[in-house]
Amino acid sequence: MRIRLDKNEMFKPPPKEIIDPVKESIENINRYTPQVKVEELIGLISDYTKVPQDSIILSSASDILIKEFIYLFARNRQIIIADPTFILITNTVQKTSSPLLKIRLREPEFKISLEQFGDEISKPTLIVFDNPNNPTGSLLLNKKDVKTVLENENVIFLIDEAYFEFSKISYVNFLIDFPNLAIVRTLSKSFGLAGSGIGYILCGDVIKRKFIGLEIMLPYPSVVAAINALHNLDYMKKNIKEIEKEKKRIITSVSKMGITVFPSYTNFILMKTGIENITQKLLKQGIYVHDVSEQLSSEYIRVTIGTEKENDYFISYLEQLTKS
Amino acid sequence: MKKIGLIINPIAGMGGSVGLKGTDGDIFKKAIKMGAQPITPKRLSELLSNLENKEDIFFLVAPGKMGADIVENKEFKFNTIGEIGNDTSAEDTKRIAKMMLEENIDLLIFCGGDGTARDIFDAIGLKKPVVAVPSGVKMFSSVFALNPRAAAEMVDAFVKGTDTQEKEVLDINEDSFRKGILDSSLYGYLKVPNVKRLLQSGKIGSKINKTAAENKVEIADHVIENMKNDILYLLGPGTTVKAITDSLNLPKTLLGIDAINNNKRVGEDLNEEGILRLLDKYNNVEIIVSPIGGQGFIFGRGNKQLTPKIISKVGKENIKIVATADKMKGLMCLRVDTGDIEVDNMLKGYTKVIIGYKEELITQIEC
Repeated sequence: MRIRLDKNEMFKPPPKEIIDPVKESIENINRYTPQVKVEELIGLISDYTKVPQDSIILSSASDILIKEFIYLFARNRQIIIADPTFILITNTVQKTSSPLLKIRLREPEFKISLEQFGDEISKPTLIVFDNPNNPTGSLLLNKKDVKTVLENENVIFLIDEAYFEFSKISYVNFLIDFPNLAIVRTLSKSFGLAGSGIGYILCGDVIKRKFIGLEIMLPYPSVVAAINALHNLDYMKKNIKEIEKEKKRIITSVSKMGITVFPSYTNFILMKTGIENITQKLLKQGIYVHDVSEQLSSEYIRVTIGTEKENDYFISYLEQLTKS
Repeated sequence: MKKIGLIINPIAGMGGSVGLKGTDGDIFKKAIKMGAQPITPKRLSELLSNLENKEDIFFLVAPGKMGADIVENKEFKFNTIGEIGNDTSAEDTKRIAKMMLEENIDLLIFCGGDGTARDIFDAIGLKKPVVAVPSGVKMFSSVFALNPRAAAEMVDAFVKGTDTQEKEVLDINEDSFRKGILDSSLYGYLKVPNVKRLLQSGKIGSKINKTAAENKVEIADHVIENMKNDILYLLGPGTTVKAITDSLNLPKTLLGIDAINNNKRVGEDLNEEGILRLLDKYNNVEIIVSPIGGQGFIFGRGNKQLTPKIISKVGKENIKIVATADKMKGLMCLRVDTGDIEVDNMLKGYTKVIIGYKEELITQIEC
């Protein structure tokens, strides 16, 4: 048996209402994506986020947007990120020549407070935080601190809300008052469209203007998938309910084994197992979990919520390991 | 086939169960009188039974209770080396380790505590890598594996061909330790196998870390770029700090405090008195230190020469902390134990640690 609990994907494909139109769209794969369809998608994202259409930047996958954002705004700024954070953020900021300040997250809360970096933002600064944080699953920020940071005009602030649908915490409402804020999201997680890869940034005009010239061609099947997903939000909400139910079950089982499970506002759980090189040990049994030894240590794992059967298999083998 | 040396200190750890905090000197005789049982054979057996690559190992084992007695009952290819009497001592450990070195072993496994680690360091230094199985009462040195099973994984990783990294050997004063005082200094470094991390085929692969040596050079570049001619720099012990003087082509006392100013060494292996004399001479002073040991102490372990008086005079804002990213990864916070609670409290709070070129980490100092 081989199970993949390492990439924070949705454990099942989207329903027929989404798959069928995508199949049909393949028939027109010789054509570029019609602009009218891209505009329809922007309209739907606008309805979904309650953000005006002209404040939306679309891309194939949010990864590209995060990278572009960092490269566009890193120049002549220091960069502040969390440690650990989404590995793409770390890898991208390290490719810039900007001074880098990492804020160590401490267990069990894995939170950031303004006290940690408030003195550091008197000079031009780009802040990139993922909220909820990956790999810890925690909510890093509180609204009061974010507001204080955004009131500082030296700061450009990018918040990665890839797991917003799980946490239900967003800073979208701050966009009206703060032109130095941008929020990046994806349809890869709760919508179950990881293979389709549609992401978007929500931001004010000043930031959006910087993206002029970055026209990213969106694959037609991806656009069709995203349009139909946003027309059928109920399946996404059902996905979240199923994940929450399984998450609760895993937490209960694993906690009984004496393993530390950290609170999660996402579709994955960070665990401190007390077993060194746990990732390799699980792999011997065909279980892929995310290796966070580079960021924390080899006794931690980040486990995506899988199907009931997959989760059972993971739980039972983990239990064997704790007893051996 | 790897030729692996194996030495156990048969009396290590015996003081622990009877509350003697160590078996250095003649204390172990007292431990035996008090009913202490040997613990190293069990620790070694646990390591041996967890090894996966048994076929690829040929052991060169110290005789009798220093190793051979335990290996004899297992299915391993081995030869014994050296001779011992009824009572074993640090000299036996050192002599047999040196003989193993002459036999060109690939790796040396030893079971013991901080004292045994010091003996092994005296005998082989950085010439060969080691796997240190924790079996002593005092194990403050970061050279030790977490437990015998983790040590077995290190041996397996080495057999499969992993790289090595330097880890610290600390010298703990046992008399002070019995009185509840942790008086330590940095004794040296040993090389240990770096257990390779799994590289997953993922959407985004983990960034392959630069080596510790490359990281130290980056840190040195950052520090040197920000150095000023009118400042006296007090450099603490350790290889991360030494990388700074290496980049400046200056000598450095690895385990002591040196002072540099304007690209010249103006103080060598300084004690408190020597440092205070320099503080009278220079108006602007900065201390550069690196966390010592596995617990993340920046003051109070291995650099006692930097006394509370000196730290207060220099001031918290003039203390620069350097550490490799890999070292910081394992530390949830930094610690201080200067011996003066007021100075410890003054140092408490958030601080920046230089972890690369133009790369810093905000973390917390706790007492």
